[in-house]
Amino acid sequence: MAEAAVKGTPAPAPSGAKSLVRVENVVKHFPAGLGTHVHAVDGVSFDIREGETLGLVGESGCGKSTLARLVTQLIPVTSGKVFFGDVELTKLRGEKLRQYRRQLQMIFQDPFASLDPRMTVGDIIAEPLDNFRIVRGRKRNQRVQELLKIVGLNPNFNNRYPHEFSGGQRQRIGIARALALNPKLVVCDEAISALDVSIQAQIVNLLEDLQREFRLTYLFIAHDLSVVRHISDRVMVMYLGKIVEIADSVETYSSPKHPYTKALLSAIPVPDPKVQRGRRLVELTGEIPSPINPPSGCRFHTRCPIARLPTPCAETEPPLEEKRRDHLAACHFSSDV
Amino acid sequence: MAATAAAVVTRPIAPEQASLWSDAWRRLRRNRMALISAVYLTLLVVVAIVAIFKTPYSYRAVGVALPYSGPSAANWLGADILGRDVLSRLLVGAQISLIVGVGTQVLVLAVGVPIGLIAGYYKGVADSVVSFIINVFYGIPDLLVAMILLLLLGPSLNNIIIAIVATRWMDMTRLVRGQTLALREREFIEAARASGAKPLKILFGHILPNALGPIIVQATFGVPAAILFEAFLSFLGIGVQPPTPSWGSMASDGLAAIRIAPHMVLAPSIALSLTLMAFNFLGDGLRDALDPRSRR
Amino acid sequence: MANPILQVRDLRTQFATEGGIVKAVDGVSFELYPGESLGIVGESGSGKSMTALSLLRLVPEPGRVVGGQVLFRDQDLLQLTSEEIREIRGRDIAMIFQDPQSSLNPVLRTGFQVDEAMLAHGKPKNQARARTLELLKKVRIPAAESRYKDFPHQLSGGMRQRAMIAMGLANAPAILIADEPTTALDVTVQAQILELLADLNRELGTAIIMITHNMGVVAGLCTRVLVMYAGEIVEQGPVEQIFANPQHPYTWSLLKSMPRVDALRHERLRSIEGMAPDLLRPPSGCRFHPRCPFRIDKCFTNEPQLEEVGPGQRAACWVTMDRARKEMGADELKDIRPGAGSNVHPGEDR
Repeated sequence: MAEAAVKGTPAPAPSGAKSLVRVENVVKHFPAGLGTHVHAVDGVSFDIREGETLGLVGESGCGKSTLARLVTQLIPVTSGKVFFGDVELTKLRGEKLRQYRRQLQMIFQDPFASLDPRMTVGDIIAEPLDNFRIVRGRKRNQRVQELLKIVGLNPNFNNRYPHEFSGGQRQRIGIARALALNPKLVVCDEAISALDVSIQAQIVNLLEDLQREFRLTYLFIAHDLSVVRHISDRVMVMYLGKIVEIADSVETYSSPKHPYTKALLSAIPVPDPKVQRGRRLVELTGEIPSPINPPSGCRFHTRCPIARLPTPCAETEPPLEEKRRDHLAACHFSSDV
Repeated sequence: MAATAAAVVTRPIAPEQASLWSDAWRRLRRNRMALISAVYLTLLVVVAIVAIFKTPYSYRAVGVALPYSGPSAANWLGADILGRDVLSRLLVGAQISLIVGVGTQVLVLAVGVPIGLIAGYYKGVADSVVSFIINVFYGIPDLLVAMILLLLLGPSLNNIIIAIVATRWMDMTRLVRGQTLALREREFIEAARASGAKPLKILFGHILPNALGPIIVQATFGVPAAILFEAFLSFLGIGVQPPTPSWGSMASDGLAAIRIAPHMVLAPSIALSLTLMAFNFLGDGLRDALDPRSRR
Repeated sequence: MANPILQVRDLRTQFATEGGIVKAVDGVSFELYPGESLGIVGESGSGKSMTALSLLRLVPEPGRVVGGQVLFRDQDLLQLTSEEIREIRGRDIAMIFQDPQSSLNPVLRTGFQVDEAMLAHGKPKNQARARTLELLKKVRIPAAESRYKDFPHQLSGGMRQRAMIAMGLANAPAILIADEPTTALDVTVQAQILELLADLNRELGTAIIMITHNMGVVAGLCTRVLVMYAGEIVEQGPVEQIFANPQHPYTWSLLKSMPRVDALRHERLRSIEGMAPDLLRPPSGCRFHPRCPFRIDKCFTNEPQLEEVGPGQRAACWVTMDRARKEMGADELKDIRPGAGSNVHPGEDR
């Protein structure tokens, strides 16, 4: 595939264009009282290719965490379909859906909140194994120790409690839990956002190693575009419940096709004073509109530096379409970006 | 895994292995009032158990001393209106109080915990129905509920417990419901669902253990409330029926003779007050010990 | 250069906890010059926020400033009475915090709270209102007149932080201490706030102390930087110098461990293995030695002091990166592991 070649990295080469997960026109609305709804995710379609890391970025309230929970079917869709391989997950309920959880695991944002404080580390990591009655007794213990070793923790930690560990170590425990069932897809929801910079690098490197070793596919969600670009093969940008751009991670930076992506890139400071002082901030006017009552037409038009108002940007919603090979964007004037 | 094995971290940050429970125990031990209360309550339980087999006199034996006679070497706490030994009656009364206090809380837990868990976890209709019923029960005065039930069922010890449970189950249910509502939004619950845990496992394996602290505290405070309510019912004459003594009915009997034999009121009242105080101090101690915010 | 406006000497702040004394700030000295923008970077637990809070004696219980001097206009802030230090706070030295939500009183109108910052320091009421509106405009809050009457919850996070900055600037302070002011904000909003701070720094000449964990923020805003680790300054100097040629292995690793948004090639991040030290039992010698890839035997036992390593640049390291590069091939290291430069210490059970 093109992006793996461009990247010039030893990252796992996604095999062909086979998609592991396909999301079709998924919508999620949450009731917001008085008959109104929060349009958290509003008609998004994309696929996650086997073996790749698909990055998902956006600012708070853009719907990225909701989308993560829709992909793993932790919450039901309002409408639309999620396919895992050939199986339509959105059609499954109860026990049938639960069986698919083996394949779809998740790593959570807050390493202090995502581990049950009343359980030992061993029981936390073994919980997925217990839920599916996979191994018992001595074998279960062996598997826990093996998983601890895989994520770089001392295998004898299994009898300790989460509060005895630091943030980075807890996140490793969360990763071990996610790996216990040998899943195909791991959704990392802001998995490193709560960690210190030096620990972030440890976890990012660990995730990369694990991907190579276990042929994992990642949906990697974060608000920090620099981390997402670093770890991902392709990057998907969300704004107010919509996908505005999907592109190879190098192209995202070198030639963004959506003004929001460009603004996001310009806003992230580069840790190099010579470069940073020469960069120009694409200033966005105004505030992020409410997802209860999103703007008409292109949702970004209220803050867009290149919008032509009212026609077409405030009237017609731009479709997410291929602007270049394998580079999708939803903008009427993507050539002006 | 050479790359990751190199990162093996060999020591966790906290040097000793201490579960949250042992932490709580360590804090509770430092609370002197709670500790004294625990000792007192343990003694009370022992005395109540011993009283099943042996009391100085039979609690129903009439005329073992002169009616209204005060404390003496033979009758340490004096005698009552029928010349029965007050100490013996007090000890048997302790049994009644403890059975009522603990018994109601066991039933309250049995009712409140599952209902609260289900209402809080599933929300929606289940929660609306439960909340509605709770509000209805809160709307009717406790005494009225208890009196009606006792009139319908008859005043036996079991029925007294049922009547008290009927007026006391709402607090526990509401507490468990609130805890569940808060806990179900926590990430580790979502993590459990993501790893394929079934609802029963989530409710009893994750939510209940994490709500246990507040539940224990609530139950501890519930015991003296139930004891007091039983005493009140007995004082009114609709509680434990004669000749079985209860601290409430003993105080009620004594009240008529308070000028000539104050010991008849004082003995059960002091026993009642001490016990209520002990449970409240213990509850306070437990609350502080189990509250993670008081951790330093 | 002019005389420093603020001189901190050997500042020590400690927390008495059950387990013992935590030395959160342990002998920190630095100067702040008029109109400059000084960055203090470090990870959680490095003592950067405690340093800032210590300057104004705002350290929360059970913490206490136990030693050192904070000289501002020829007086030691640590020796003032609580009445005197209150006068300084907000008038001469203002502070803004990470979470504008909890720094603003939710039941009072935003503009009124800015007024109050001035009334507290004796400005007449009729002048305060006009000045508040001027300030709200200065921090680029649109429709300042109507925002004046809004309650904090009616403002977005970015607007609240702007209101906090307006409040901080109300009495035209000589120094503005910003403690992670953009950490809770989205990146596009963060960029706007940073630009605002840079402009205010230029226009008003207010000296800024920027506390942050983000090297990128320092690169964009600051002229000088202090790097803190485990309660101590490990390196300091002009921003260009530190970023181009860091001499302390911690600074070097920190820069190498951050992915850059402008990176065109995927390079493996150099992570710093291990974790931040337990401040109850800080490591002997150099506090970074258990995580340092270039440590030598001396690092285990002797604590290095800040020494001149370049023009205006000082680092506390026995090795320094110049030597590490020459002798240990630092740039070839793919993944840095502690102890690459020396035998593993027997006390370390790795």
